[in-house]
Amino acid sequence: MTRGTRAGLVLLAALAAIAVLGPLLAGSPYFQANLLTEALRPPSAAHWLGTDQFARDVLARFAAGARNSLGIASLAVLVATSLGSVIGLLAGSADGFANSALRRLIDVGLALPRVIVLLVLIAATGRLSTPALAVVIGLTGWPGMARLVRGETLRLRHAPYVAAARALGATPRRVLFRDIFPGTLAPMLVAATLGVADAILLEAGLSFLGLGLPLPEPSWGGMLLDAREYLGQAPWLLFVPAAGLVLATSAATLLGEALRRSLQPDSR
Amino acid sequence: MRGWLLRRGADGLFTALLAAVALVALVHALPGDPLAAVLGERTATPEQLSALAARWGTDQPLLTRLSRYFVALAHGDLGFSMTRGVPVGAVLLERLWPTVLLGSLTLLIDFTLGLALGLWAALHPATWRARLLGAFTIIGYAVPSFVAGMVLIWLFGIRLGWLPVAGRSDVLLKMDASAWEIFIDRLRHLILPLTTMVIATIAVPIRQQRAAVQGVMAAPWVRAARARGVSPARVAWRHCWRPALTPIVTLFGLWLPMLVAGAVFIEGLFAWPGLGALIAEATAAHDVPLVVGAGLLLVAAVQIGSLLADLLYRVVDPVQRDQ
Amino acid sequence: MRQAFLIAALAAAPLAAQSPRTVPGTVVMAVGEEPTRPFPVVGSKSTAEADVADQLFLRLGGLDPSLRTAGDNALRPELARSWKRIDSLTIQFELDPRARWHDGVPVRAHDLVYTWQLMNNPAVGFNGLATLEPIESVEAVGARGVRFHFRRAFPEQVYLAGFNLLPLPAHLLERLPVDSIATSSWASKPIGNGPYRFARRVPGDFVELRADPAFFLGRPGIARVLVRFVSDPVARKNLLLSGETDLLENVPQSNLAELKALPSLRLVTVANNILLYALFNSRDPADTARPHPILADVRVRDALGLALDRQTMAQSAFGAGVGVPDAAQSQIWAWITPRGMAGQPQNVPRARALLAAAGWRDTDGDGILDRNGQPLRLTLLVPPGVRRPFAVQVQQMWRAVGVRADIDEVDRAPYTERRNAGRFDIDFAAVSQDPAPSSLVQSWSCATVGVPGSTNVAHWCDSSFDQRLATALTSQRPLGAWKGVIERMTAWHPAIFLAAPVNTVAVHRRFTNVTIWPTRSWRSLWLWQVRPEAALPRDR
Repeated sequence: MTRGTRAGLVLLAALAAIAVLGPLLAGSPYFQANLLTEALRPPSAAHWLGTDQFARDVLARFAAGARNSLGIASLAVLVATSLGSVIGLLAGSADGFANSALRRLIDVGLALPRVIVLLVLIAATGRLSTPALAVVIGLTGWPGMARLVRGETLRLRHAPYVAAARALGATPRRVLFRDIFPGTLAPMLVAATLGVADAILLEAGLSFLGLGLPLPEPSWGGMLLDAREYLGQAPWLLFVPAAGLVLATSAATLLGEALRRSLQPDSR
Repeated sequence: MRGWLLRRGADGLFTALLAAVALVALVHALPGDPLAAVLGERTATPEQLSALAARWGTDQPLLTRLSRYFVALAHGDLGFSMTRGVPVGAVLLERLWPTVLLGSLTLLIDFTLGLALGLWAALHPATWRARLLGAFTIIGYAVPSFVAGMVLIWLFGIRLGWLPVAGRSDVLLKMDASAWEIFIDRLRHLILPLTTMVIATIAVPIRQQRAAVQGVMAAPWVRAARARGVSPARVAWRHCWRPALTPIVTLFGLWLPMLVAGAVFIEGLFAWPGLGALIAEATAAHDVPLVVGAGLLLVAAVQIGSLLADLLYRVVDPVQRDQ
Repeated sequence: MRQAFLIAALAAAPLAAQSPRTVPGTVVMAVGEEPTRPFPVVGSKSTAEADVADQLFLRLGGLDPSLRTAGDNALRPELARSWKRIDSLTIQFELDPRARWHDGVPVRAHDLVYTWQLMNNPAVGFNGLATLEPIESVEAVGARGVRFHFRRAFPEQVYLAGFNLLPLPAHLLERLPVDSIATSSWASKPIGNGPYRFARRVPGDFVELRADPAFFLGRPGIARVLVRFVSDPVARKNLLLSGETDLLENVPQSNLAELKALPSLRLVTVANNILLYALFNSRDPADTARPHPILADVRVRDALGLALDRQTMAQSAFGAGVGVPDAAQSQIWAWITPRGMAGQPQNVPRARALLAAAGWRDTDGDGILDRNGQPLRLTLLVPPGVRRPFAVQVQQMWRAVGVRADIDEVDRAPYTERRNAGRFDIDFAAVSQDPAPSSLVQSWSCATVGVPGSTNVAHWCDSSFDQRLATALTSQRPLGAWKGVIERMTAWHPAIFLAAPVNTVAVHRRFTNVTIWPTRSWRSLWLWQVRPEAALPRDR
């Protein structure tokens, strides 16, 4: 295990631990507004990371935010990867009209500005629930994955071992799923891990624009939006979720890079 | 080359057209009263409503609206903004320049400073400075741009008072100010948003460049040169520079739309009157024609960027040219 | 007494005594929407546009500092030099012969007739028609006589006609098709008749106004007004903190401490016409022909209000001085019943008892009350912005009495759509009340139920309320009658009134002769001046 892998795993484990243990350590549940005389208090024994403008426990909100932010990002990447890999595989293996149609589909998907599509979708539908937001982010993320998988599929189609399988009389379907698909897994895994980092940042950005989860459900981006107003008086409101975002995104990036090095030593 | 360019251009145009259809259809098909943006937080009498619906064409079926939109688009008409009551094209034109300015300067810094740092890091892999740079590229990428922006504004704009906190220019600047005064004023207003954009984006070119140069350094001809006793700097200059450029060029083409997307999150912070802020405002107000217009502009930008990348790719990599 | 409360006239420094020397002066302000159409009727969709239009255009009469709207002397002469009553249904205004458009053409009675015609053109989509409904027609009598014919006799006729009609220049616009006015060259550089002229607009950035030296009521005291467009509220606050802007209205409570620390700023509070309330839907959101399954019961509505600590919520959002009325009564109507601004306090036991009396009990032990197997669950429709924190706290406090509230936070446009269609249980509304209390008719009376375009989106109808309203509308001594209206609403609970905030305004200390108006803060900006000894470089 390389240093990068280790660092990434340790960071992710630490965040997961906070997400799970946070509620136990927190002074009050994440949704509970307390006496407003206790609002905007710096870290203390009762509230380890202080309180926000409604006197809610920042640690509890950080932990709940970790569940939401990481959960949304993972689910979004899962959706994007599944959809993207199916389309990519088909596009890479189909011939004739289907090939050009699928290639065009991927091109069009890549040509659509993701942020605009997301803004429009969320603005029109109102606040989405946690899984719905994840699915929507995922549904706009497939074209990149599809392009990658299509490229890999095209490359592997002409790889000697695939040609051998074909010569041995394997059906096209068998070749596709038994020989080509496993070959695309490594780059897919690397891209998906790196994609988690992007999805975390994207969700944070949407929440920061006020298009995040329904109240009082916290996400790190939403906490940052609230923190802006109080930056001069209560900087911890900014630093806590920002630290979460930086750690989670760095961890995903480190892991992705490490995976790339071990799974695809020849790639740059 | 010209044949390739024509084919590639037509291909891009076709993709852009399909993407435009998809985008316009998506926006028009979404639920919600399309006149809500015209009305704002008000009510209207039935006569007013039907007059408005007729004027905006929202009383027509979806297909009619779409075909009307594209017929108008073919004549270069993007319609009227619902919240502003002025042509969408005019609004986009007003807001394009500030974003292009911010974006191109970011691009310039990313691809000069970023590439230089990447090259340097590849040539000095074991030093603590390179490790520091490596850590920075990871963290810099991980810090959301708007957090960096908030902190910069608070520190340099409010706490220290060195730089303006928002806007593109000093509204108090005299109308007859000298070119030099205008330049200095614009520059002061640019520093914070530009720094924010660079912090958010420079990590990628640094890492790409470092990886690319490291890859080339491992190539046999470079090792041979090193074995002959050529100095590392000379090797880097003579042998690494050009091959390492290829992946960077690809990145360059994708950069343009990425910068606009990034601008959506930070232009508002700085009250920078660009496309990003406009997109955020327009989507929040459900100004359908304006959102679609901005979206189409981005679709075009993506295609132009990718065409540019392919073109540069062929210029940089002679092998491609022969294919 | 009332005047001191309603309007902050900041003590004028001994200006004249100091020296006769004056400085031109500059005001820089930031607004949240881009003022692209700062002119009445065909433009002015946002507060920012209306704020700029206030400087560019002059109405027939200005409000009296007492803010009273009844009676023939409710207004002070502005564009109109005088007015006289012809009969109970007719009033004639006489335009000041000195009044000019910025291009030098005199303002004529025909301009007002033309503006009235534009307002009534459906293609214009003018939104104030409901308010102006009592006006039957407008007629020019000679070059300077403007005669208003009303549909009925009522005490607010002068206010209604004189305050709500800002004229447009007929000589420039009449030849244009209605559709193209908003995109004409006039619209890009509007010519008005107010104290300031439109100088230039830098798109997405700012609008610059210059004092009209020939303004017939006197040259404005400040030579230049710059209105910056900054959509982000925190960026607006930052600009004030860094000294780049001079004013800010409706300063949020969260920013007070930071702004108070700045020696260059003066913070004042004035009455505000804003009212925040949680509107109960009287009808079933799924079928507006049926009563609301939960909220039709007045005991439930009362209990939901009693469960809330409205005072604490309002104070945390708006600071001390905020009113928490029990009826639709913002600060500018505090004159009706000043005591009504302090509503009944939180009473959780009583809220529980009322809910139990209405048949709501927690039979399945899930912490949520239920009745006949249906949980007491309500959706709160919330637009983004200032109402957000209220929603969170309401949700929290209702949870304590066993009421489950789901917050449905939607953008402004779908919010309006759903609100107008009556598709909500509880709507977190914020309204800017008209200075005239007669505007209560539009939102709460039976006459507006089911009327398309009405603001009575919750279909409220209470005959006792309507009777009292009818009395107040025609009464020549309306104070007691309006008290009756407010009392009835208090017992009726069509909504929970959450806050009637005061407007906290931050103004740079170098200005003198500053008057802040309750309904629109900067209306009399043209009377302000800069103290020469405190002038900044930008004032010269």
